[in-house]
Amino acid sequence: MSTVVASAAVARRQQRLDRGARVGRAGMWVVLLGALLLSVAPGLYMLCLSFMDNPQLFAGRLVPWPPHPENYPRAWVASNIGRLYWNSVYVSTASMVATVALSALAGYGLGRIRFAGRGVVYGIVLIGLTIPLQIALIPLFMNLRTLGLLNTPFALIGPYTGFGLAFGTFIMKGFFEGLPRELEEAARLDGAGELGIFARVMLPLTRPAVATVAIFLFLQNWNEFLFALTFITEGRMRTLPTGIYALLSSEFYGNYPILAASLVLFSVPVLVLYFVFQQQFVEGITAGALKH
Amino acid sequence: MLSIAARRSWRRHAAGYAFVGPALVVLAAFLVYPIGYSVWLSFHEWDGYTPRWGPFVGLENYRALAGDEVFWRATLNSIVFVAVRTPLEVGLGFLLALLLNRRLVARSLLRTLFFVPVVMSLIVVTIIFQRVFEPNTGLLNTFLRAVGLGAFTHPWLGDPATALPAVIAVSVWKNVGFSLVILLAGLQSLPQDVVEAARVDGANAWQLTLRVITPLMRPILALTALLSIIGGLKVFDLVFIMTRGGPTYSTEVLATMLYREAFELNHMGIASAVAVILVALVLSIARVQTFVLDESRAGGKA
Amino acid sequence: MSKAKRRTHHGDAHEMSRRKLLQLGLLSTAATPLLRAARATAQTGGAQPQASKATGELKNPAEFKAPKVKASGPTTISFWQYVGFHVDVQKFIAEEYKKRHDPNLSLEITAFPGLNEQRVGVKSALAAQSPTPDIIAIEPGAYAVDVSTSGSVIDFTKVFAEDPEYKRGFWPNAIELLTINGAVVSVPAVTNTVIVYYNRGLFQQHGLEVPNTLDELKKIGAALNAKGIMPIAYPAGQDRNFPIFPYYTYLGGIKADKLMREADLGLKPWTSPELVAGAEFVEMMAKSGLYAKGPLGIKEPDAIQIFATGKSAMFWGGQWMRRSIRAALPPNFDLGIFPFPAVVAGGHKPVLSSVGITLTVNARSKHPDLAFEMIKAITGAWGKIEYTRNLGLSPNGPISADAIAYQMQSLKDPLYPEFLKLQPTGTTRVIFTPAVEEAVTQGMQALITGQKNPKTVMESVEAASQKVGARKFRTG
Repeated sequence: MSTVVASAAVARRQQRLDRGARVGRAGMWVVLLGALLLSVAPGLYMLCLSFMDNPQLFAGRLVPWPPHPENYPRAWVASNIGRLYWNSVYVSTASMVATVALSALAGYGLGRIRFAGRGVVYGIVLIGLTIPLQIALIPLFMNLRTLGLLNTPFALIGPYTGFGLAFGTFIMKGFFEGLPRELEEAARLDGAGELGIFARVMLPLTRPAVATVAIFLFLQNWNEFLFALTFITEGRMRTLPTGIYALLSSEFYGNYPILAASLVLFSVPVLVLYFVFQQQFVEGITAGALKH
Repeated sequence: MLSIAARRSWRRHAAGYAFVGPALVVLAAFLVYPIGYSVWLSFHEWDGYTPRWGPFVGLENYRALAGDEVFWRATLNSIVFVAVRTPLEVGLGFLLALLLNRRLVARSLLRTLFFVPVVMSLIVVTIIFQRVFEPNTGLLNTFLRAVGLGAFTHPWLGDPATALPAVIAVSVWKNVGFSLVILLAGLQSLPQDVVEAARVDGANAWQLTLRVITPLMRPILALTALLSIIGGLKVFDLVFIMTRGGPTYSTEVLATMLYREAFELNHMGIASAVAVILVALVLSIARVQTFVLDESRAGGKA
Repeated sequence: MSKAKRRTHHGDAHEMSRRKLLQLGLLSTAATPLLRAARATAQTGGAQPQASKATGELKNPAEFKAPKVKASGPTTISFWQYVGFHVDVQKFIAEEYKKRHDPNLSLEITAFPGLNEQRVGVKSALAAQSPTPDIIAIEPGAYAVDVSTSGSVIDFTKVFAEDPEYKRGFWPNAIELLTINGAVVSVPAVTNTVIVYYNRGLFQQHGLEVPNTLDELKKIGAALNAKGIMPIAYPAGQDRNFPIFPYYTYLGGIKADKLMREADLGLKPWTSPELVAGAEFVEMMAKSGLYAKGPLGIKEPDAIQIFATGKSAMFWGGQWMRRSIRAALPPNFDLGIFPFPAVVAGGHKPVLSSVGITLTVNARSKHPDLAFEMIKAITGAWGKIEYTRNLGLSPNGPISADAIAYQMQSLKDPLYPEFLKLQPTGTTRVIFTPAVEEAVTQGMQALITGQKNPKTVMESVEAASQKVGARKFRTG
């Protein structure tokens, strides 16, 4: 008798829970979609803008019709994007590779070797994370000029590496710290020295951390413009951000659609890069961040 | 003759420096040198044009800053910026991460889409938001009017009272994706057995989140907050391009003040002093945060 | 650099640079014979331009004078400027120079995205004692004072002494503006005016006439507001100069611009009655309902759109905007201009006139003579006509009626002669002391937002002025 009543009560409670769960799930979708819309709307707007022409825009349209895909080739030519892409890719990649290499080494040293003064070194790394770029502008400019390195790729690769090292070392240190001792001990038993341990045992495991650092740095270098503006003044050596800026103040100033097209061209590579590597990125962040 | 232990420890120190050596050299050249230069410059006067610095003035620049109401305004704005932006950014990121954590379908795609603002170049972002905030034909006010909330239209960037909130909003928008990705990764790496155990014990979603997940996530939340705070104190590009610190210094932050003093008013010494103060501020806040991080890590491992 | 050959306007977008061609010049109404002649010239030229003469297409009537110094071997000199859309015509003139006179000399132009970026680059280069760039584009005012008092540039004293005809080619007031401590620091490439653009179609539709006095302007404003049209699109948020427009306008209107200059140099107080009256005018204008809402949050592109779509009937801006406005206008838009109405009864209409980018030579350049020759090519008799024909901006000095006719062949803009007419009646808009300019900008912003009252604002400007102490320079 009582069991029937009891199970009815349980059933009703279950029904209430289910309804609550459904409402909760619906609400959750609302929030998610809302946030998604907010996140993506500006980018979408820019994309739409890039296919319009000015009359459409000023008439208040939001969706381009008829679409003008010729804006893209025009934007490409007008901003000389080909050359800019090449310079940006070169500078960003070179400094990313250098930073990753150096910070892997340094991260390992800081994270796994107890050497005297590592607190100080780590302190320097932390300071590097915190300083604003502007204060380095004039001293670096004067140095680069003395060394005759202005208007060369190194004028950017050097500072980017320098500033990127702080973040890279920070992440790599955390990552290396978290690797289990057993690996190291096993390798040492086999007679490996520090370098051997590093190269053969630890390094292969670092792919997620490396991916994280790599994409973060690439992103940062791709978008950096203060140094790019000041240290590179020859048109053919310029990187993307300064080229885009120049476009904004050139004859295409009022031509929003073409500007939008060049801005899309500008942003797409990084997005693609992120999409391809996001799994690694996520693993890397987890590994690097959590092990602090 | 060194004992074996001494030799081993010498080798250890040497090895350590061998590993960090190359990085140290680069750091010294591109970080330590400029900082040292700036610190030393902050005790001088210089207009930035003459080849030699001006005279040594000791702490005069710092004293001048202490009496400069723009400096205090900038400091206040910087702190407000961080105090508002970080909780919003981390909080919203956490909320979205929690939601995304339960949806396996299309999670990768969604994650990428949320990351789009982070990847968009700042130039793009500021252009778009300038159009959004423009008082007469901007998207925000037009939208408000369209849904009958015309009374709420406002000159967002033109009014000192709303300029800073508007800039903060853009910054949050831009950076939520980053927090989201980090926190989502953290959620996915939580020990599932603890979570399962709690669920089996009958905890509902709310309790699960509050009592179990959040404490487990504390270290990673703290790290995300730390990165957000550091970035927020240093913010320059976004503010400068959108409002240049105006109107009437309502969005002036330390980095924009630094730029203005250095490149528009020719006060290189004062600008360097601002830079030094900014670095000191960031370092001290980061230090505090790291303590919290260590504490929570020690506690969270329970 | 942009490769397209279209000649359009420029204008600033939402990036770092705020000041494009906001060069402030002093064109006093000291009517010299030169000015009177120029006015006559401009007025003749202002009539509807003739198409090509019967004999064929018109050519540039000026002579492209040969340089006194030529390069001894292939030489490239560098030029750092900050107005991207001038690059094409500068390149064109440099190519012609190379073809006609000196095949060894090449010009490499670097266009920074904006004034601020260029100034940062220039300061870094000067601090590092770099011989590059050879030619530097600078603005009148603080920038010119900085480079001159630090000995970073070579002044034009010798060049003018050797070639007085070259000096005569410039408006005297423009030269006066660029004279620091008795020497001319740089020479202008173009001149500019700030006026009110208006929508003729809209005015006709509502039976409105171009206002001659402030009261008339206010009436027009009221009428437009009643019909739901904003009177003036005013992009006060564009950069730090725009908020000061109304202030300069008023001072020009009551002929107090010389007083302002003296206050700028620390010789008179900023709390003088006329200067305070200017602040009161700014406050009044901000409260008058004449501006599109939230001017400090509006930048040039936004204001252009407001004007182009007919949401406002007028647009307060500079000549440099003409191309961007034209580009944004629908094809049947009837565009007109008028100088700001007289601000006091019986007063004259203050036209805010100024110089465009100005060129000077780096003191550490390895080829100063060649640099000066290139500058002369760009700003001299032949060059200035090409320069302004290409861009539709006003030349840096008087030009003949033939030259104007030649220009009008390719300039499709009927407003060009109108601007030429306005040029000589301009009034000053430059503040030389950086700290004072900053204080004035902030003060004007505070007046527009209503945070401070005029008297307080002028007191803080005076305080900033006194803090600077004795100026290390004099102008003129």
